[in-house]
Amino acid sequence: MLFNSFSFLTFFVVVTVLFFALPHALRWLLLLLASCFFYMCFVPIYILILAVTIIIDYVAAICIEDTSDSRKKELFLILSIVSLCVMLFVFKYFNFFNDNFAVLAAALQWNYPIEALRIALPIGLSFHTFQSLSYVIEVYRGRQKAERHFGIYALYVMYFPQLVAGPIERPQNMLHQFHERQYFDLSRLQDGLTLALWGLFKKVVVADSLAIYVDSIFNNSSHHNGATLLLATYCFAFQIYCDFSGYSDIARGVSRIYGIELMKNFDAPYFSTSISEFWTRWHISLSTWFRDYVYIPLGGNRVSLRRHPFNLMLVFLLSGFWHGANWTFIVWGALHGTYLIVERLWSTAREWLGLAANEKAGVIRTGLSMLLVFHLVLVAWVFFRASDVSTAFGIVRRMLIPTGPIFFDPILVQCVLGVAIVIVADWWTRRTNYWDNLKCYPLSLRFATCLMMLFGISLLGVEKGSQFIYFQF
Amino acid sequence: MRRIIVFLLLAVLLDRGLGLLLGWIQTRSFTGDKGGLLNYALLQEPQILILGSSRAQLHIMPSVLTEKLGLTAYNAALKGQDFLYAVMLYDLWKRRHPPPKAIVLTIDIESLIARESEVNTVHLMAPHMDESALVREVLYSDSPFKRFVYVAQTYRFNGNVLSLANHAFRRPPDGYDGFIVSPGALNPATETGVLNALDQDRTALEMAQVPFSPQKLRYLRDLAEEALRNGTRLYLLHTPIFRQDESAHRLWVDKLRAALADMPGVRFVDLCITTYPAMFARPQLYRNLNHLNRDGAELMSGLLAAEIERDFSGSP
Repeated sequence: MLFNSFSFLTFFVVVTVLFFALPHALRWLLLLLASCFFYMCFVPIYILILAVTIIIDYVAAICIEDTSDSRKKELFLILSIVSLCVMLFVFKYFNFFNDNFAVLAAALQWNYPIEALRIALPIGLSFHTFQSLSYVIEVYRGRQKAERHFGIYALYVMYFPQLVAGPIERPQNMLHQFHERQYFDLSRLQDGLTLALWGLFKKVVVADSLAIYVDSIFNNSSHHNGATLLLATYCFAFQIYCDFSGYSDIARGVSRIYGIELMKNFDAPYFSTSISEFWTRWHISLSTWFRDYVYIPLGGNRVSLRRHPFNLMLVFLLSGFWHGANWTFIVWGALHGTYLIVERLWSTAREWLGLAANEKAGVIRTGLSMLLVFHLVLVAWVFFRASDVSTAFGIVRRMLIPTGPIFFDPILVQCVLGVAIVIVADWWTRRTNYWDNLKCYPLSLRFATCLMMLFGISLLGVEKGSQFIYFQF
Repeated sequence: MRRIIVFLLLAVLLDRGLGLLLGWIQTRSFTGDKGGLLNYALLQEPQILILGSSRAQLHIMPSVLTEKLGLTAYNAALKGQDFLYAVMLYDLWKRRHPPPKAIVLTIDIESLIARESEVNTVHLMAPHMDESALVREVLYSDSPFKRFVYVAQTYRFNGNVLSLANHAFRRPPDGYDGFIVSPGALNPATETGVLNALDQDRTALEMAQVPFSPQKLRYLRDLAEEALRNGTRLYLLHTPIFRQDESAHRLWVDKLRAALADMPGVRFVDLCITTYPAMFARPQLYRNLNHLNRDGAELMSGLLAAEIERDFSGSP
């Protein structure tokens, strides 16, 4: 059941009506059952994986909290992390390692008898695994009390708006909200629906129309020239942004109606003036997860100058690998890691040389920085989208000499229109935070934006468009 | 609450207004694949009406039929469409004109099987849905929600607005008969595949094994009965495919003949590489695996004219 489907719309209306009709004591149960139904619409049997994850972490967190022995606490934490990682490994990474070992064994002329597992990747596996991990770690660190209500904890992992593609929430933000009594609030309903509508607009009008062009080019990349490949990569940069941020906005909007605020996952990332800023604006819930649970435990930036690049690279390699079991994602992560290392070295060198560290950047410099960052990110997107690393390198090589006539598809007109709307909206909302402060704006403006989105979807929305890209992770 | 009611009223009013405006433009536009050519076809009153997919639009030259048979002809086929578009178009067309002398409906291995993608492509018929129960039935068959979604007037133009803006108030050149010239010739060395026809996910043999859709058979039967009542000859025409899968073709023809057994008056005309191997095995007659070029279309149209002539004259 996709967010951009009529079946989800029906599901959402039914759940919302029931949610406010039921007494507070039963609402968690409704949301939990709804979440189970939502997840089982994909591959029903995989609900068992979720159930195992939930049971392990529920028990582990209580054991951690109940014991005063620090070694036992650590043991329970390790047991929980290892069991979650084993599940992640089996379902997501086993075939990747197996294939690579088979290639290596063939090169060394060894007999390698292990066959690949024929299992489909459970939808959103990486998302709910990371959300579970954050809970156990926070309980271990003493920053979160273990949740004794099994149903509420299960809901924390399974909450349907963010179950399959995040945001990857923290227990401190979520668990207390499930306990709080929620009242029907008309203005919250309006705000939630407006945000969800904006997300839907980005998905079905912009991302899905871009997907038509991007897929036609990337699926036959060898037949296209550098100029077309460059255009397709620009399109992909906005496709993935609108697709994923669209999903996040729908999730936040839907959840807001129930009175449960999810964290902001995107904040106009393509207006970043540095790679480090980009990572504070792109997939915020994942980058903060890696910061809190990998980067800082490794020592963060309070390490030697030699160790710091290693930490950065490790975090980004893991981040790339989190996305998918493919070398393309690892290269994507490595590229971002390299960008960040170079940026940090450059900044250190500037400080060392005493070059205008406090100087306020002018408009031109800011604009050029944005363009540079965007294009660096763009190169990395090629690896994210391409089917394999050699194809990606081939595309990048041809993109560097963007010559030849551009392959035109009539859908490009809609793509350009959609991207222009998103850029203007992002430019404006990054200062005003419009979608989260709707009450501060005149009714006429809110009506106008809602009607524009509604008719945009009705007239230009791509029906039966592609699945959300991040569902595969 | 008052605000929500005002918003909903505003949305409904705007939807009606925009829908009316787009409908007004749409009915005055006669070019483009997203509805303009459909409007133009509805204005024509030929004696031979040609319906079907791109394999009709690019293969049948009305001028050749007119020259050989002395009957006016119009090619109302459209690329990207197939059987459903043909029967929906005919349902709209017959409300405007007297019955034609003959209908030529191209048919391929996938034409009579149920395909979700085909239902999606006939969305361009939505602006005409108030005119025909059949059009509504097909459009609603896409999903149980469609009945409600099509209440929105603007949704009827979903995906067609930019094309409409491009083709607004335009007409095809004088003498346009619906046939599209397909230039170039097939290079068998580069075109190595075997035809998968319109449905790229399945092979011809797989498609030949799928049972025909009962809904499509019902539409075909209705069309056949109506043609019989009106004295219209109905020809189901299969046109050439380069490197056709012979076993799939045989299987499909047997299945088709069995289905047509209880549809009196329907003539199946098989003009393909199986029936005319010497003629249609030549790559220089094709533009690609699925489509003939101009020379191929001329040859095929001549053969079709001869078949119709033979049928009209009553000779075997």
